[in-house]
Amino acid sequence: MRILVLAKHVPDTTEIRFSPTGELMVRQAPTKVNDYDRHALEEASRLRESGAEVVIASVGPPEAAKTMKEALAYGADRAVLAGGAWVADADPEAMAEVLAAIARRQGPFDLVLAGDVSEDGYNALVPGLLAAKLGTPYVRGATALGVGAASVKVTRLIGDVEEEVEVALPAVISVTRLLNSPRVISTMAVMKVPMSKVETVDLGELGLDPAAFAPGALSTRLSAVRPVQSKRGNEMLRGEPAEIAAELAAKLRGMGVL
Amino acid sequence: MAASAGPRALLAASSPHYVYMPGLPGAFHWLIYVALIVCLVVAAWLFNRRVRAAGVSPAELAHGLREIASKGPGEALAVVGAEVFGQRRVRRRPYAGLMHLLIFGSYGMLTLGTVLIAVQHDFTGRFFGVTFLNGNFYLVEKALLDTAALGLLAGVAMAAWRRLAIRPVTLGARPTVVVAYAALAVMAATGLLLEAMRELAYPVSWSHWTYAGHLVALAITPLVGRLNLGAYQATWVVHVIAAFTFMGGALATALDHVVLVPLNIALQSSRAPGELRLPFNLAELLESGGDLEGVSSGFANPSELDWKRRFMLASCVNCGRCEEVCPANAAGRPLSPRKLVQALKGDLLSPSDGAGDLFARGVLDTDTVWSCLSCGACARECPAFIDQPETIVEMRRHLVEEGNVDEAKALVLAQLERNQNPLGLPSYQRFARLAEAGVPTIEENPGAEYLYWVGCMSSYDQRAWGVAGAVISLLRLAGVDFAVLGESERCLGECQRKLGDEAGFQMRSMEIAETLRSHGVTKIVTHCPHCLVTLGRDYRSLGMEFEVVHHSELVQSLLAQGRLPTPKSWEGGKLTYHDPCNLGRLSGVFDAPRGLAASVAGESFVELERSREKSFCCGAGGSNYFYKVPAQESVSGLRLGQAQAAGASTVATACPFCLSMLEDAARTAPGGQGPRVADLAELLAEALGLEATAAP
Ligand code: SF4
Ligand code: SF4
Repeated sequence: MRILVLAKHVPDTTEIRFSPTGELMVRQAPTKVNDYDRHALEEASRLRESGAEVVIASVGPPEAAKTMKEALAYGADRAVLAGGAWVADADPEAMAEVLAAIARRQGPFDLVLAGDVSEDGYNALVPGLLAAKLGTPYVRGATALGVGAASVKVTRLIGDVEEEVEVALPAVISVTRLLNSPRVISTMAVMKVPMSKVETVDLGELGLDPAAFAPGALSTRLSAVRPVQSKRGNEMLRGEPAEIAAELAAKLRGMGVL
Repeated sequence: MAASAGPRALLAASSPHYVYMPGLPGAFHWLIYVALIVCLVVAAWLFNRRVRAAGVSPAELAHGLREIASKGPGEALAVVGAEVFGQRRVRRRPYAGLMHLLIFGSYGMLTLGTVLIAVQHDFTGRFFGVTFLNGNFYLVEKALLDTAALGLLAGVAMAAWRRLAIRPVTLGARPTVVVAYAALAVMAATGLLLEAMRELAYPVSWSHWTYAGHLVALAITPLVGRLNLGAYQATWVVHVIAAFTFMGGALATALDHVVLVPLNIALQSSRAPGELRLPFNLAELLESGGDLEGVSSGFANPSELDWKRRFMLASCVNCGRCEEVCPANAAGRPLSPRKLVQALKGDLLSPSDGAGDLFARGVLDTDTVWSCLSCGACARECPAFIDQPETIVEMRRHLVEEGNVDEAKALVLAQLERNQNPLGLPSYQRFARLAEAGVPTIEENPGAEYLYWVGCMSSYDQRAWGVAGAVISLLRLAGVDFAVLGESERCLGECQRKLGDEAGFQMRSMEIAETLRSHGVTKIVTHCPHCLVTLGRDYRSLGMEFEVVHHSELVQSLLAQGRLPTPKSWEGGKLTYHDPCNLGRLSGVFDAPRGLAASVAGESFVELERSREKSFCCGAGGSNYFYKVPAQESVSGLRLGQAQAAGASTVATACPFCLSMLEDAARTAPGGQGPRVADLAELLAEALGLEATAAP
């Protein structure tokens, strides 16, 4: 079995802030493997233990090579990172196009695993678009996987209903954070991954036309980012515990919470 | 020879002097030498077998000892002297201490006495005609040796009583050890008996100096008619056989510790308490561009350990002193350092079947290694100088390298990477509060005398903010020139290291040291003992030198210099002080905080039973602040209970983690609100009427 895992290099959202002048400060934020993708990596690495070959595909800036090492440390054979100046403005469509090119060039793959969404874009589009481009079925939101030789059973959670879908391979599956608990990757484990396992490719090497990826040629574009003030407040209640409890209950009732 | 010369008249007439083996054939003394050689060969063979069972070759051991010798053996000798000859740690237990002292001290004296005889008879006397076992020296020596014989009998009686009657769970009474004790007892008893027989057969005027033998002589006088040379010689033979049975065979019994422990103490002597040995130096490793494959910071199985650590584990005498003082054990966590060391030792000597690491094979449970607080209480008690907390961290490293840790621990490690603090709060908020309080950064005040290292707790934790506020107020009042790193401060990684991410810790330390150097920082003050040991001792072991003081030391010296006024009155009732492990036991800072406490509370200061070196952890050490382990009670609750039992209405501490743990325990103390918990700096600032800068 050959498995392709999509793993994205993203900034850490807990470290992103707006500057006093209202600009989004992403640059200074530390970067990492998209948390949702870690679950896909973990699942793939478990399948690898029973003989599967695992290739990681990603689109990202040159610094993403370091992130690929971390992704490889979960247990994968190699990673292919597509990059270039166009990456900064790439939309989900462009990303899926490039990832499809990687999948074809490195393929065929029986199974493509990806995190359900990426923490930076939050579009949840790339896996679906990729499936469309590869002409395979797509199931999103897996909470459990049963991978067979010719098909995969996917468990999904919809509200409080669980459904099981069986889909023929090859297929693209996006996974949720309920799927598994990814192992911790120690600093040493990352350092032990040789850089030679990360192959960087550009559009030309993938047989794609760079002109189609120029900023003007893309169908969507991020035009603005603004902070939104959420209404949150706090109030300190003081006094004896019994008084505080009574006051708190009254307030909650007043808000309609109780 | 004296024996052949032995007429009574000659003996009776002369002044006190040693007479060599009267009444024994001359060949006997050569037989003793032959027996000695046989005995030493047997002992050496047993020793070889013993250390090889632990996977240590005598050559390695010899090499280790040579290494100590070449580095200057002073320290090792001093430690061995204090611990082996002074029995420093052994003495801490009254019964076992006295027993060891009696056996070890008496046996040592008796051996020395015998050696002196051999030296006089076969060396100085034989070749130079010089004798020294004469006159008053000889008389005193004889009296001492009699005392030693009695002491040895008493010690062996105590040992037998302990193993056979008291029977602590940790001590067995295997036949081998019973034989060894019997041999010692027979040796001492026949020694006295021989003295008595000799006195009766060859009376001398000074026989009351050998008072014990003299008493035996009085007791056996009625039998004197039946005494003949044969009985006397037979007793001699029994005496010699008993002595050599013990000397040659002890290493085959539980008494092998008499050799293993002193050697281990010598091998471990140069280590600071709580110091973790470097499995590698990452900077050097990266510089050499070496292959990282196969590099590991921990151990999956005890057989992988280097020989020094294997020897260390093999030295455990199963005494249970570590278990007795272990706070994790007291709280009913699944950890007893004794059982842990014994399990590793057992697995080392006869590995259990099965594949995988020691956890997979059921030698230990992962909860056991996560229960440890790295408090060092056990290591301080261990008479065999076994480093339990280090061994535990080395197993944690293995688990982390394998990715075999639960989400809570994984989260702490991830947050350290992302947010540069273990609490998972944004790095850009670290300095927010102090910036508001107008605390200068090192950029704003370059060349400040002290860099104040604030640490994660006081940067983020609502309660611990107060500590930083108080320290800053005090430093300002005393006119200390200081600055902080501000937003570029980040976790020093103490928790990361204790969690087992050694490479991550070293990586971090290189980066932080670089930041500090780039600002020309040399002197650092911190109120966090975890930061103190990391920036001080741990960075030094990585080759990065900073002068780091704890706020209690700095503030105490400011008080002493009169740069801070002494507060006038104290209304907080009885004040006690909880020694944070990292500050007290592991850094040796005991007096400065007490000085501070005394200047705040004066006569109202009370010591806890477990104070100073014996302090009891608050429950946060070894990264335990950040995750939970199964337990019957909380460690912090136990510690707070000890403070309550001492009648304290205020518990002072000097560590933001202790503060948080103990305050939490006080909040949930049985019987309502427990004592007040505060940092010493907070108490002093308050007593001086200072508004804590940045207090919430
Ligand atoms: S370091 Fe402390 S908690 Fe850990 S085993 Fe030793 S005494 Fe117990
Ligand atoms: S580790 Fe040390 S203190 Fe603990 S049982 Fe063994 S010898 Fe005794």
